[in-house]
Amino acid sequence: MKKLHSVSLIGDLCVGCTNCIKGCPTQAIRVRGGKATIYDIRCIDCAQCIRICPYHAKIAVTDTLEERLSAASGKVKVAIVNPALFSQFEYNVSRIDVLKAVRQLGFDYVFDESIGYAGYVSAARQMISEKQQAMKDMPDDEVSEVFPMISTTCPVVVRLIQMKYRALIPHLVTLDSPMELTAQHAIDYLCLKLQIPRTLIYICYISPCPAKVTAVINPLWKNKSLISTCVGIHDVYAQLRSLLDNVTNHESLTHEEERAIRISEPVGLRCAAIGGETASIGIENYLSVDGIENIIDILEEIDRDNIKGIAYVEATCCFGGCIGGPLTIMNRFTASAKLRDHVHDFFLEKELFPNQIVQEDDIVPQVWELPLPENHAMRLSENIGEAMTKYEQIDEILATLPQLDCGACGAPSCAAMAEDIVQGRASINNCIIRAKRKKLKEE
Amino acid sequence: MLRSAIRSRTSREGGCAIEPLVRQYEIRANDFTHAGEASSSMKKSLSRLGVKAEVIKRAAIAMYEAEINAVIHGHGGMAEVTVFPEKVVIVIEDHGPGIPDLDQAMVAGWSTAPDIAREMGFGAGMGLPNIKKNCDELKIDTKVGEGTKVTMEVRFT
Repeated sequence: MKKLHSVSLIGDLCVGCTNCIKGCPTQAIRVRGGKATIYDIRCIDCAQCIRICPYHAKIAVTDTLEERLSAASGKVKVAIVNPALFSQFEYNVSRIDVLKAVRQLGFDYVFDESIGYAGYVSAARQMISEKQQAMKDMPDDEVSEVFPMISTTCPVVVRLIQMKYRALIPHLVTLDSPMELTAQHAIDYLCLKLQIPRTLIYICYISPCPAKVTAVINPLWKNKSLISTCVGIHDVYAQLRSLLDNVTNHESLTHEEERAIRISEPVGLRCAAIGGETASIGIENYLSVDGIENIIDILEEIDRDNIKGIAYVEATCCFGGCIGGPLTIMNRFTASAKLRDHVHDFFLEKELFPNQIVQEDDIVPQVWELPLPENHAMRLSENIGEAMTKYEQIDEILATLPQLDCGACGAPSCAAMAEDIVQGRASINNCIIRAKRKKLKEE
Repeated sequence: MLRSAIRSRTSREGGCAIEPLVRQYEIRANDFTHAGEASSSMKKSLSRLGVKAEVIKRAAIAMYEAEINAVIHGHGGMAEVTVFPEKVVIVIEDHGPGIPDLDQAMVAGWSTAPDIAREMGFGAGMGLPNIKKNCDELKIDTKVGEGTKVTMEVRFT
């Protein structure tokens, strides 16, 4: 069976507490038989459960680098690095140093994902102004069918809209993600430079979060990702640190490294922190929102047509942006300060390593290959009549439940429990409060 | 306008095989903090029933506007949502002052909202025109001094 998500559970560590079921914004987790289980179809990879679990039983499944690289022997091995990685080290470690160290993990070429972000930002800027132009004389209600446009750089936001805010799908920016744009750029660059077929290029993405890993395994708007495998920042962090002890020299790049390392201008780099994307787009009437609960609030407002005069919404599931990703190491505030430093350092880097910098217009923006399908995981039945009957049954059962939302039955709330019962996924006997009350009455 | 599902009942009116779902909500006068909770609740219900997103959006906007009208002008009232397999019928009934000139009230931009409502961004005179645009069937029964009953129907296909 095709693996749908990258969030997983270490059964031995799970004690069956209620932390993750309560924290999940889409109510995708239940405790069954004393262990947490995820309803794959409702999981949006937000990683709330990974952050919340006090026993570290929830993990993001990524690949082991050694295994992956040895499996790719004979191919040109390429790393694409999420720009959040640069913010994870001391202040004297430059972007070029980090990429040199990444290369020493066993890659032939290293591309900074800022390249793709720069491409995304520039294409989004154009898309927004074209749409604004086209809608200039349209009545308000038609404008509100597509504005505010919503960023698609965070896959969690897209999956949330796909499932719970389906009316907002036309608001999404239909551009391929920065990591795919970077991969496309790497492929174009290497095929031309090395005169090799695309099949000989093996791309590994170094990710700040499980959502981007899932977007590779199970892409949203294309059949197949250009990226072959993913590792988390935390998977390679220790190794990178020890490599960095040896590579920290600002002055020189070997001839080999000259060819192998590619970075971008700060427009892409700063997208790793919240606010960076809108700053780079250079738009005035925008909203930047981070944190899944805050995103839900804003989407509710947009869905209700309550947000006027806003052209663009930048949204990242993680607080602080990708630098706050669950697979990163550094505290997000420190990381944010470090990222700002890199943006300032850019002009220094530019003088030292002019050949490494990819310009914004070198990146070819790609739009979605496929339309985004709706996810109907929240509906009660495919048949509306049946759904209505179930709806009525759920309310009837709910009225007999204690409404304490204690979570002891394994469902996050009594309402979720009532739905599980009607859907045949749980028994009313799992409610210990109800059983206890019944017993007390009998006595 | 604190939302409260007061009671649920099923009815066999219309003689269809599937019993319609009926939910009622109380709408409180001048309670702007909770304005929109009834329509928000209806929206979630329709979504769980698998109604198309575009249809839900229209029904929610129409109901929200009518709810706000009952808050601002109608001294509060009741909302009743009846879901049939092919449509939703929303009735918002208030016991406010009624609308003296309905034709004028339907004109976009015409408003009698008090300052307190306008200060909060309501009362732009788009309520009734917006309702009309978003539902497939609209009936307004109003009598000066007695109240207003707005019946909205939104079809699923």
